[in-house]
Amino acid sequence: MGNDMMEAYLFEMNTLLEQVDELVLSAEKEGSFSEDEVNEIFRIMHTFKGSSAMMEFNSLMTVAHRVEDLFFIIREKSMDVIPAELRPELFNLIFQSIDFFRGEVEKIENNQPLTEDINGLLAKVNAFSDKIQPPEGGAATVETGAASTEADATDARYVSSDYPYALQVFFDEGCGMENLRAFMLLSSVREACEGVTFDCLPADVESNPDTASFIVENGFYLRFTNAEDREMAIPQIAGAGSVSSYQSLDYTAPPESEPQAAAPVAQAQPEKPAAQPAAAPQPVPTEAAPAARPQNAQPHAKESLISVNLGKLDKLMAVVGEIVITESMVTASPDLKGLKLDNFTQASRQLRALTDELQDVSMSLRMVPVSATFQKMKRIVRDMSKKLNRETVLTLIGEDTEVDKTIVDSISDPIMHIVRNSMDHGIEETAEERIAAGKDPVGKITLSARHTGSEVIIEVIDDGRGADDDAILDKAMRQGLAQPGVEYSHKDILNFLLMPGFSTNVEVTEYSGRGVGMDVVKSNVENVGGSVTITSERGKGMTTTLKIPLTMAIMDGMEVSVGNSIFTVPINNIRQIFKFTENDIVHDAVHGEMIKLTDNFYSVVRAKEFYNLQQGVEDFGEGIVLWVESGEKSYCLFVDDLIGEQQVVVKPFPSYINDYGVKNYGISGCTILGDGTISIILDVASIYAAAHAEG
Amino acid sequence: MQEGLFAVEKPADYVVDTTPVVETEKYLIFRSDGILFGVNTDLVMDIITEANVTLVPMLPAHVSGVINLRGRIMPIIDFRLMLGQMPEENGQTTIVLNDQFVQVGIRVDAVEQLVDIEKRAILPVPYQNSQMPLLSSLVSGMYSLPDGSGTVMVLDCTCLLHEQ
Repeated sequence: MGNDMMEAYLFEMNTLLEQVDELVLSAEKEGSFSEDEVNEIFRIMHTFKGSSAMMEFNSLMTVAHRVEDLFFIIREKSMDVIPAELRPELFNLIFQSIDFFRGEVEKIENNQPLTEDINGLLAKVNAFSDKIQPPEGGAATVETGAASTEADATDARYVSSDYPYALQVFFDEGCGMENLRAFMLLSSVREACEGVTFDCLPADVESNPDTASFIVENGFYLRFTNAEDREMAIPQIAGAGSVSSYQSLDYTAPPESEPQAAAPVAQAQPEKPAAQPAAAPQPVPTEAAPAARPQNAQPHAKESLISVNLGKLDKLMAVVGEIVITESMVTASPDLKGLKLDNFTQASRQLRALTDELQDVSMSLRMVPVSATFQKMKRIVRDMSKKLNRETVLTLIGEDTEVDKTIVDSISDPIMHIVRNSMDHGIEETAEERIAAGKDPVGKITLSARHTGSEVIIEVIDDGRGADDDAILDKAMRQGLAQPGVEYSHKDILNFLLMPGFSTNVEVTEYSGRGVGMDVVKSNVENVGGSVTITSERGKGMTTTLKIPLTMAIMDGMEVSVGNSIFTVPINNIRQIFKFTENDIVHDAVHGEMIKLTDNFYSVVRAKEFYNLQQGVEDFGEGIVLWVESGEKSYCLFVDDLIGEQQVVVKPFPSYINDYGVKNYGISGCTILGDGTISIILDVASIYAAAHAEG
Repeated sequence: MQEGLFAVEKPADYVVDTTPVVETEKYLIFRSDGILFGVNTDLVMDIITEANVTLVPMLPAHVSGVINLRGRIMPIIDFRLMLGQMPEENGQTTIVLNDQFVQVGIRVDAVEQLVDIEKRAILPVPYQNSQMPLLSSLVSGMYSLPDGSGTVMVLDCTCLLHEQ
């Protein structure tokens, strides 16, 4: 019961978080929220608050509550209440909140304790709400001034008249050792702005570790005597690590003495460092003009959807699979042999049509569009292009391509990894470099998905630097992956990128280059029966292609026999089928057998010997050879006979069997054939690995 | 009204109190290489006499393979081989055991009978057989059949289903 509720809660949170993320991303592009979007986010935050309160996740509830409050203000006063230069901050703030929720939800999923300290985030949300919320009944002109004083009530008390121009810096939440980070920041500013007098608050960050909590809560203040000095320091702060946000604060005289002269808070964001002169109090309404946009943007189309437990769908799939098999057991029953049954034949033909349709429908239930996975990449590209300062647009093609649910889940990480690689290693570091190469200064990454029959092809294309063959080869030599003195083709060299322990980037960055690289992508994709290829031209960019089967639940298989056992080999893995005689076999010194096909030698694995089967043919002339390949592995599998090609419903072995590690020997699952017998589905790659490890 | 109720119920309570509560459980008795074994019927899902076992390679000898039981893939354990008894091919019956997590068919020589066994009549095994540690851990107690036809080794099914 409790688990069901928790499951429902997590599912709801995850779905809604994706929705908010998408909303905010599209709104950021527009530079404003439409009325619908504000309502939607307000509604979602309200749901968060309610469900989190029910599950007693108080920190989540509180944050949701504050964000809800913020959107309540926006809903009441419309988007006009937020001046254009505050908007980037609003978007960042919402993204931060989304990340917070996401992090917490992940912790709940992993049974980890939740973050207790949410004050930093709350303070930011509150400060922002205060900034846009004028006090009740205030006159229009006073509003700005009063609002800013109120907002500064927390922040500006640290800004003194001696150093009236301050910068308030917040570090990434949970980065730790804030005082030392502040000290490092201080030194870099000092270095960059020689001769500038400034001080900081708290002053003793170097020696007093207790200041860390002050910085987490209130931020770290750098105070300057004039605005120009402050402008000089901003690039240092913007470029420093772990800084999550910063803003300029100006000293304001106490409001009761001279409210009209109070200077408003000038917001300095990386995009617009000198957005607004600090002196002139700007009336809010003038900012509203560009923000006014058509309200009828597009109402969110509500689809009539229900969410179903995946387990139920699996069960449905299994039952449908049985029906299909039972149908053929009935209609092809040996009892009917030699009988002339016109009505029966007609009825069974109709039954077949219906069961086929039933199978298609139940298959389609499991299919989900890749759009959710693709949308996540938008966020990654956005964050990374900000962080790395490489402006890049992500284009999505074929978002509505549908793939089996289990497959979508397992390709999400690989795609993310490839996109990060493209951002990190692909796209040039500066716009100048791109212009010099004759490219658009804005980098371009395209993520596309399309169907080809039984496969989905997902491509990540960037127009960055492309692969440097020499650098890769050099690295591969050092890693011991390449042999000196061997000629490697362009394709061979690109394949090094997919090998374990290979990473071309010298530095480890936050996003990629931790040594686990494309080889993990490759193994993840191969786990779902897919493959990865890379093509690249130097200076033109790189294309990574993932080929993934549409579904793992049903596949085309070739039934083969060995003695009285029946095995299914996936058709996708079969390159060719041959008959051979003993004379074609080449022996090596350790009783290994090989066959020469086209221009290469391929090792032969005898299924009978590999599996220690009692029965089966020994003589090559009597059996048949399947030339199979999976990824890079290509070899020949020797079996007794072909039975035929068949579409099979894949069933996993019960864990009782799997616990014996049969998967390592290529026994990946089984299927029930038309006559009720069981055929074992072979995994070509694992057989190769096992056979050659032993050999 | 209240009084009346009590007056009616009291004798009933009294009667229950006098009869000794006999906690019994139903056991299915089967034979394997001349020895009688008993499994709690709560765990028995099915008894099949004909099963077409598909051999799965690379498994230990006592796991014969899998069968298709109404569309379900079910592992089959050869009970004789599991206990290290002499293997025998003919005339085997499969008892399908099912607890919450695992379903396994065990191949035995023959199913004998169903008996109600009084819980306290199950006596502890007097010794631990160091030669057959698996058997010792599988057998949780012993019970002599009232008709004198033999002694039953009562199996601990959790151990049977999860011990590999």
